[in-house]
Amino acid sequence: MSIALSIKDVHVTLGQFEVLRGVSLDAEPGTFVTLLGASGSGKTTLLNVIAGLQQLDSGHVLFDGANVERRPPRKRRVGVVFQSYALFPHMSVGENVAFPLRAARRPAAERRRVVQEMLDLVDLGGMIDRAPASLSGGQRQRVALARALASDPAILLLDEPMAALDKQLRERMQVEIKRIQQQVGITTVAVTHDQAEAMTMSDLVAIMHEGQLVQVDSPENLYRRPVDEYVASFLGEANLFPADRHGPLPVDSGAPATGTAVVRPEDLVVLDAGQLGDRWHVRGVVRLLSFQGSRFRLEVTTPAGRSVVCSLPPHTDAGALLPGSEVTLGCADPDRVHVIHPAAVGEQLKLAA
Amino acid sequence: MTMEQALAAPATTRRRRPMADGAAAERRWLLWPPLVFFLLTVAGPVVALVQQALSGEGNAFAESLRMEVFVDSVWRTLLLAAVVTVATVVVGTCYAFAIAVGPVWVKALLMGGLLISLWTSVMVRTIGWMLLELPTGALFWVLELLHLRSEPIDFYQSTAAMYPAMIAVMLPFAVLPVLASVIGFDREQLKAATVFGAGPLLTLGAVVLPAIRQAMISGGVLVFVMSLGFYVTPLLLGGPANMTMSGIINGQLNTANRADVGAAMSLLLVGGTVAIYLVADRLFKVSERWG
Repeated sequence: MSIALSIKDVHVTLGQFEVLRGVSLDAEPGTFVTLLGASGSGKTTLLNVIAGLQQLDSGHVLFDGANVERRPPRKRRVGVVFQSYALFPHMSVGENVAFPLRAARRPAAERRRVVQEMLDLVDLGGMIDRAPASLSGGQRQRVALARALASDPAILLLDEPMAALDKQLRERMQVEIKRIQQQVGITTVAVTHDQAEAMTMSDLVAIMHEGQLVQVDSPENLYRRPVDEYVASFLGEANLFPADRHGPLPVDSGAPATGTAVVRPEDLVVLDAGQLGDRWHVRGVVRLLSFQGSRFRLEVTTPAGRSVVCSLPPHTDAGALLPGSEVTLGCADPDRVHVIHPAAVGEQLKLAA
Repeated sequence: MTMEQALAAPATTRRRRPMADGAAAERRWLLWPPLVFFLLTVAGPVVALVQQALSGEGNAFAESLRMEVFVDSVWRTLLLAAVVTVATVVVGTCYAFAIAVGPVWVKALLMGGLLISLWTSVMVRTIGWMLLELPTGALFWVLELLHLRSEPIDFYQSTAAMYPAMIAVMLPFAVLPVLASVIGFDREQLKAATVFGAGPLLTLGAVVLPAIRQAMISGGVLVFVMSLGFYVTPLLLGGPANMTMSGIINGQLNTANRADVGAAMSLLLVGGTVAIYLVADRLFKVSERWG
């Protein structure tokens, strides 16, 4: 049974520092929400607020419409996977998973049944009597996940769940956690600073910056239609050009700009002189061309010193793009250029308030 | 002397640590300094004691065990050590918790008190307790001031009088290992316990105590073993009627002039202490903590 999560205008001050400055967020039951941000942006504090481990200065946390900000953590029915997993080292895997049930004084038969069910869910059915210290990092994480789900929580919280895993395992576990989350159908909030992880696992990504949520949206919308320059360059690579209402302005022209155009590296193409016409374009000198397997990465410097990054398909003729050669870049599809208007951001904020 | 031996124990045990195979041959000379130290400070005196114990006419060991005052003192010593151990471990664990989680001023106060009492001579602290416990001492003075008592207190030089002072003297040895363990404890486990619905009692019993159990046992074994051979504090506060083993041994050497019996009793004390340590090690794996 999962719940709708709603956070309304939450403020938290730690010492002299205002860590959360008016955070609001809504998630439907069963949604996987990821809080993404640089370290110090307040994302772990927000997770602690949901878990009840952090007191609020003001604001509300609602589970299915009911205020829970005064409820102690143990009465909130939250399951948490901690960054270090926080497994109890002197208990076996089974005892760890049974801990929430033991705390709730459930009968022994039910404990045994749930523990087996949870360990099967995370593919650790045969590990019930092992000590946590004898498990690998990935297995420990699965135990932590099984324990978090054992008491049938209303909401699952994951604090940097992949931080302790190596890259390959991380990618496997991202898919695995997503599978389990969908199977159980539980509302989930995860914290991470890894954008690839956020995009892989989430239905909604909330970008945090200096104690505020800058944008909450689906991964694709965040990438295609960022609300500001911070989101644009935080999520993937982005070329930012001055723009007006109609689109990007001629580069280095000094024309008055009213906004910023976001052009993703893969939306840029190399243009021949014949293709130019009156299309928008960037002229520059190739600084570096590197082969990355599925793509070429091209770095170009304009005469005014602006750096432009371009991602080209692997069948590109590399001979024509040696460092030092002149090149003209244009947009493959003008519709894929997203223009950020600061005025529009202001309006959006007003609407949100 | 006993205190020094107990503190030297980790240093002498450390030489048995296994080494990497390849480097073992080159590094074998590193074993010599601790071995020489062991021979000079531990094995030497024991050999001298054995020789002394065998120098008399009769069997000094059998004679010791036939002496009623000695056998009484053995039980008294064991009881004292056991009670002091339990009390210091319980109080010491609370003390360590307070240092670990208290506000800065509490930490400073408790840590300062602990270190000052460690650095102050046992003799000085024992005399402090004497002044407290004397029939018209500080305790009486306070009780009289509060109009709770008008006659002098008959407490000094009784069996009970040894206990508070022994607990105070031994407390740091129980606190320090537990404190190290409590500070090393992963606080995220407390958060986990809270989030998963455990109340304070379950958190303490199922999460915290098992994590610091080994440290409590090592502290307890250290206090117990040290208490067995303690001399000054029991002697001054317990008085001649309540002598512990070390007091009786001193009597044999200096008053009865029976060096052989004194040496035999010393060997019984050392042997008994080692035996108790080995049993404790078997039961609780104490030496694992020494590495």
